[in-house]
Amino acid sequence: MFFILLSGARALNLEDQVIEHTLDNGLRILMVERSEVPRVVCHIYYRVGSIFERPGITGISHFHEHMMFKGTRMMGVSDFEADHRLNVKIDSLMDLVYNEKYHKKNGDMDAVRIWQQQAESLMKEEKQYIIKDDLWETYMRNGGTGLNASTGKESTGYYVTLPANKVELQMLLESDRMANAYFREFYSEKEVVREERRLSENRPGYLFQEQLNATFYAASPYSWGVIGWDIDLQTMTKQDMIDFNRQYYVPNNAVAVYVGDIDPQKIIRMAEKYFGSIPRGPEPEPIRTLEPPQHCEKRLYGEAPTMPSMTILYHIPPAGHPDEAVFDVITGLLNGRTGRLYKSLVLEKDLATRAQGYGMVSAYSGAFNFGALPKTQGEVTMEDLERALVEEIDRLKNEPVEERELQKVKNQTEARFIRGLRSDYGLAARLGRAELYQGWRDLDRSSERLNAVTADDIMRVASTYFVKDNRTVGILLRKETGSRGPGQAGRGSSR
Amino acid sequence: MNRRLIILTGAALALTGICVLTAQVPKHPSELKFESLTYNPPRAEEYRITLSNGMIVYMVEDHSLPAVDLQAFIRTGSIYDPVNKKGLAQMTGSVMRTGGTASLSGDELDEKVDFLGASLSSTIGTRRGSASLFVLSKDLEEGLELFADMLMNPVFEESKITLYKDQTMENLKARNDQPRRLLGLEFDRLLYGDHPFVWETDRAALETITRDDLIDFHNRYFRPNNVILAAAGDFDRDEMVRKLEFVFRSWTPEEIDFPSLPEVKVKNRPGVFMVQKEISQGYVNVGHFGVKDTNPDLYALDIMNFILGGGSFTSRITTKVRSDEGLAYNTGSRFVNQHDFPGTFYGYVQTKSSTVQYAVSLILDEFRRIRSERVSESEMETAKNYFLDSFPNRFSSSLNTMAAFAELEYDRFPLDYYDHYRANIEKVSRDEVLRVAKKYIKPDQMSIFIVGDIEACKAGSPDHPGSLEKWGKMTVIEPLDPMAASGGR
Repeated sequence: MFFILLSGARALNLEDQVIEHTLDNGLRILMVERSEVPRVVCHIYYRVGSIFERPGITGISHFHEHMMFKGTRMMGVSDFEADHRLNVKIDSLMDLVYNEKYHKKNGDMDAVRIWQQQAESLMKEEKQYIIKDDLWETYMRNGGTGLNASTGKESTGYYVTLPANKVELQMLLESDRMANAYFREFYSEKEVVREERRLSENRPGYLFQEQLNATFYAASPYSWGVIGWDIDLQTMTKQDMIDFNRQYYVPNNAVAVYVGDIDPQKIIRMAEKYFGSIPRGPEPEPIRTLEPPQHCEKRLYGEAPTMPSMTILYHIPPAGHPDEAVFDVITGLLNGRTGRLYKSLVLEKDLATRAQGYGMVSAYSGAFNFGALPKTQGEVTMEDLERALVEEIDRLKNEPVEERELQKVKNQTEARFIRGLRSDYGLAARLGRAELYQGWRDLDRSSERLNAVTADDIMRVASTYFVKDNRTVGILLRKETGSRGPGQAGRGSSR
Repeated sequence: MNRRLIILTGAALALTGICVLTAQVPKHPSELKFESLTYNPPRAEEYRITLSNGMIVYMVEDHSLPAVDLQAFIRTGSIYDPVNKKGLAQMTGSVMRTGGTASLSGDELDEKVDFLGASLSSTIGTRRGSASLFVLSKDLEEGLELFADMLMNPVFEESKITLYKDQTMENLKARNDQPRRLLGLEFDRLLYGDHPFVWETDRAALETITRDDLIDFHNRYFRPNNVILAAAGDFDRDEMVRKLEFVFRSWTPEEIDFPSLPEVKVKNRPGVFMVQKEISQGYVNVGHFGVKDTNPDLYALDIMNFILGGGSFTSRITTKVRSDEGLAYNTGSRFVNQHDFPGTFYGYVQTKSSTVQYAVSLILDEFRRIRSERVSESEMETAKNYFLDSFPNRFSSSLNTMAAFAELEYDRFPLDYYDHYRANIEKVSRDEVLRVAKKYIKPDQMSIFIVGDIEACKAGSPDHPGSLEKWGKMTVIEPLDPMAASGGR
């Protein structure tokens, strides 16, 4: 009467689970066989994101990800040639508009209006050829779930989970848009992206965090957010998008991952068939500007209609540096209910309601982020909070960590690794992103590296990196908006 | 050249050769032919047992990883908060975990859990309590002891109650900061009025609630016969049953006296309602009361709403408002179904202030359209295929499967619900979709609720003239201030 859902034990290292294959054009394929249900998580990752942008086109990686849903020669259009003819006209009109509007001192706004109207009427005409959200609909019609895409600073991913008998659909649609993306509806989608940016701006505190990040990075492309600056979104052209696509959306810059109820040999044969004919592209340009030494402390003060907060950021080395695992251990020491920051700032000193500290290891330039929300009932000042945070940071430098505390962090890391193997979706994401940079095998080595970290390593690393000239402090205070809100009872309303 | 390399290259060429012969890449997805696939969902009763103390357990062995997951559902919720102690249930759920047990202080419990790399949690929501444990199987016994101790013997240390109150006080101050959250809270408050279902805690209640209240609340609902447990992982079933019997051996069943709940007065509130906020967009819900999750029309409603605004880019509202017009990043429609009360139905959009009026008019147009004509064959096919083909997803992990069964039982659905799910979806016709659209969407009953800059939203844009007032009387809503001395309504 009882059934065991699963048989064979899963290996605890990835080496024994992952099957890899590389096509002649450089596309890497990673596969993990699992058969709980007849479904397959299908992801494809590109080694591109906001750090590959430059001033003038910030936000293009994310905007481009939106445009990848707008069709190809095959998808999203009923008559490609007719649609293309209209697009050529629309683009040349909009180039005139942008040039006049954004790049001339005293542009002719009457002309702008006329060109814009002409372009808009062509866009209306184009609608007869457009098959709305064709790719998305096709996936859904075939039981696609987890359907999405995301853009980060270092990678961009396209996701769908399909019934096990329909993986070929993903191969067809993804190979098609890798090779033949066609950016119709560019101008209306740009407005969608700008609305997305507004959503962030309307989250109180967002604009301060955006400025803090820009302050922290003086030179490296980590200094702007994935969404980009609004002015760049406005002035970006169709041609910028096409150039960007040609540079980064090539098979030798991508990893395809399949986790689920698969036959790896079949997957390889299908991948050869669909992706194999796409020519290898030139290797994309490497990132050149790394973050230079900071030399002096930076401080940023701001106000927003939300909870006050304190942030302290330190530059740390990029992934692959021998100290990487030490930062992972420090992160473990600081966080959670038994972490040092919660114990000290929240429980013992009663200064904060939340406190955390975590290392953000990045491919080219990392950051260690300490943060706390002050308790606003009572007399706590930002100076008190900063002092308490710095005391904890100094403790890392001066006091060797006890054996049991270190062991706790190692146990937690091991358990977290095992936990991370539970979800097919999560595993696909970890494999794909790791493969773009340090290689997926690095995931297996991470716990080994972490186990080697000693109390001396922690003191040495904290003393090296957590120093005044290497930090940026952000202090955000609540802005009183005038309208009546909680905590301002009785102060009256502006209306 | 070494021999091995040559052989490999040969094999690769051979493989490519085969592909060239057979590689007729389809010109369109419609040309793809898929092998058939049959899937039989697991059946709830095969995993269900009852412990001697009355606790119902859904359990399955899963040896793929050396770990065990438990998730308990406890029949309780903030709907049972006393009127002068709003927030009691939530506080009980939280301090149960942090405030120690008869044998361990809160800090000691934290240390033990963290040292094992385990995870232990407890929360009480609107109409359900839940507790969970993740632990490596080598530590199963210790983990189970901690899990059972937390559920049975919490002592609610005063210091952790104070901490909870301090933290909650900070959250209350931030209640109206995030426009999205503010909209959700105020929209529900408009419809449900003063009902336990939408009560929020406030300063006055926080100051009133005592440790004894938490102890009483826990005593009343945390009984083994009021718990449904889902368990999956690296254990032997028989041994696990023995272990559960052992750790919960001192827990005695008791009849639970659930307070009776006031009826929800289902009265829609047509009109335009606004909360002032100095932001660049209007956050909008357009809707009214919806249905209970026991409604027999639910399958037809799911399909109807998928086509209307629930199926993301496949849906009419997203296509129109986002893709076609570029007005918003987020837009669509949803039914939020409730179990003991009617839920809500609403369309939603966040768009720059000047296009709020236009975006709302497009959503209302779609409401009217789906009520006036049958959906197309193709829309119907997409929607049905989606529900049918994605069905196995809910059984994608052994824990998810056990939790899905536990939830069926919690909500008193028949245990063979999933056996008939696909047939029920298949049965829905286009006429049915039209019928439920007419029955459950009432364009003249809509509350148009906007959080945004009132003047800018009213001004609209020259491209799309029109006014908000055409949809009814405009009321400016003062959001709840949970820090006010009087506390709420």
